[in-house]
Amino acid sequence: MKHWWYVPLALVTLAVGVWVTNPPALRANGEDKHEIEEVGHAHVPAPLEYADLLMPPSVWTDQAMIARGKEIYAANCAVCHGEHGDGKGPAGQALPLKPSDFRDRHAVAEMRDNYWFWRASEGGTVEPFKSRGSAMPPWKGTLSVEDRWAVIAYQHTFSGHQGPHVPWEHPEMVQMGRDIYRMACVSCHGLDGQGDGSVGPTLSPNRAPQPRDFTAGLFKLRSTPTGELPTTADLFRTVTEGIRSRGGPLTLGLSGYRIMPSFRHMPEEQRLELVEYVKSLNQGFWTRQDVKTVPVPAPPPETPERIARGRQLYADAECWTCHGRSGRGDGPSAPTLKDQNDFPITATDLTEPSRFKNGATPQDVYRTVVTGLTGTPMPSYEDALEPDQAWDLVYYVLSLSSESHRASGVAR
Amino acid sequence: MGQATRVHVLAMISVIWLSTVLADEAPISGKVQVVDPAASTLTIEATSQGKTRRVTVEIKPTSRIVRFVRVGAGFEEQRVQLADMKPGWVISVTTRHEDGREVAEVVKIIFER
Repeated sequence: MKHWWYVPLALVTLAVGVWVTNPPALRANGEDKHEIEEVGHAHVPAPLEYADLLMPPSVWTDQAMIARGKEIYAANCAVCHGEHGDGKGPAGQALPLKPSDFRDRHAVAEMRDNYWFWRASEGGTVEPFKSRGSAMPPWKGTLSVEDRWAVIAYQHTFSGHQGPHVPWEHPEMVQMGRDIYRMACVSCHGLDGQGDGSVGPTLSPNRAPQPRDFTAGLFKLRSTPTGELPTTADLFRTVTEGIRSRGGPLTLGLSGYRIMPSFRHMPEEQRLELVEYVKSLNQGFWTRQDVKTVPVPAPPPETPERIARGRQLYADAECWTCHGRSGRGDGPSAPTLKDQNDFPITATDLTEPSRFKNGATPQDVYRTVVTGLTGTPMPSYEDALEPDQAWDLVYYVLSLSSESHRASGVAR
Repeated sequence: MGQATRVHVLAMISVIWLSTVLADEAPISGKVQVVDPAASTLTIEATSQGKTRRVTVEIKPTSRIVRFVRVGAGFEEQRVQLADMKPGWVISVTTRHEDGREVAEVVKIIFER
């Protein structure tokens, strides 16, 4: 055969042709096929509104819940995720973004429960999944919270893991946050989060505030009732804003006399990962049932009458015994104040809002008055004051400083 | 140019053209916006790489529209008519280019709501 080489040449040309044309840059909807051969899992933190929607650890191993989840899964999820959770259901085969394979124990171990619940609730309607072409429907309008828990617990069984899906079983789920913590926080808060880093004590030698011990469960800056753990949003706010202070020899370089720097410059996703790691240091964040917050109503207008009532409350509630008659933190009890670790602690100088640890907007001060600062002598006035009275006190406290000081306190 | 060379070049061009025609289309997915049985088209809103587009897909007699119904421990395909489809359903579609249009090969119904 004279031209025998035409056959292999034609095959090579066909292969090149297919390679050139498949995948072309654009498909009908502008997708690049290279990018769409992915599975649905992505390591992104759940947004703050989902961060505290945790499954009770008992649900993961509750056989009744798992059986209920199996029924829901068979009716709603198996068509894409597959009968055996392998992501190979008949409707999932042609999807641009492949359904998750729940048998992938490594990928499953990285998924936090709040992430899972967020995905089951919102489906592909949220970023980054929406942009990647996810077709997953949102189930929050169809399945109750308990039904979503049940189906998640059933999906978890595909991974072969027998226990609850929690950070102390799967350290992988907070790996990224732990890496960030070790770069950014360990020098003050210590390797194990017990507040025993090498630099920490020098920030405020032998005095409060000392770096927080995350394992002890005492958090000052919260929107939750006194004595309770903070919300994820509270921790996120603290990481973002830092903590203001009277300052000390080693804090003068920190903007605004912060004893803890602001990490606002850190990408939001990294701050969320960091917060998830901090939460993992205390199992109470996973075992608490409901996360209740103290509501902060819309601030009423500031009036001279309100400030006058606040002045009377300041006297009646004996705020002056610590904060002083003029609010300078020089009340008769001030020199004797100690925190939960028996360290001397300074009463806040209310004429310097820029140094209020919990922020200096009217809402910030309201939150401080109502929730108190756990671990310090500052009590919660949630039960003692009606919301309107709390606002009176807030506006009186803010009136103790000059306009310029108030403005600098609000500026971040 | 010798005859053998001309044949060779023509053969290569033909093969490249054939491979272009045969190249499969990546599937797209999204929510049905418009069902137009009169025009035999389906318009879906599909998002990819941060961009949301409306894509109109032509349904030909050769196109298959299917839903999956549970039969025992598995699923079975059930044919669906274009006229029975509803806006809001989530579907995936494989298409092919034909005269500048997108012609559906298989439409899979993922979620009916």
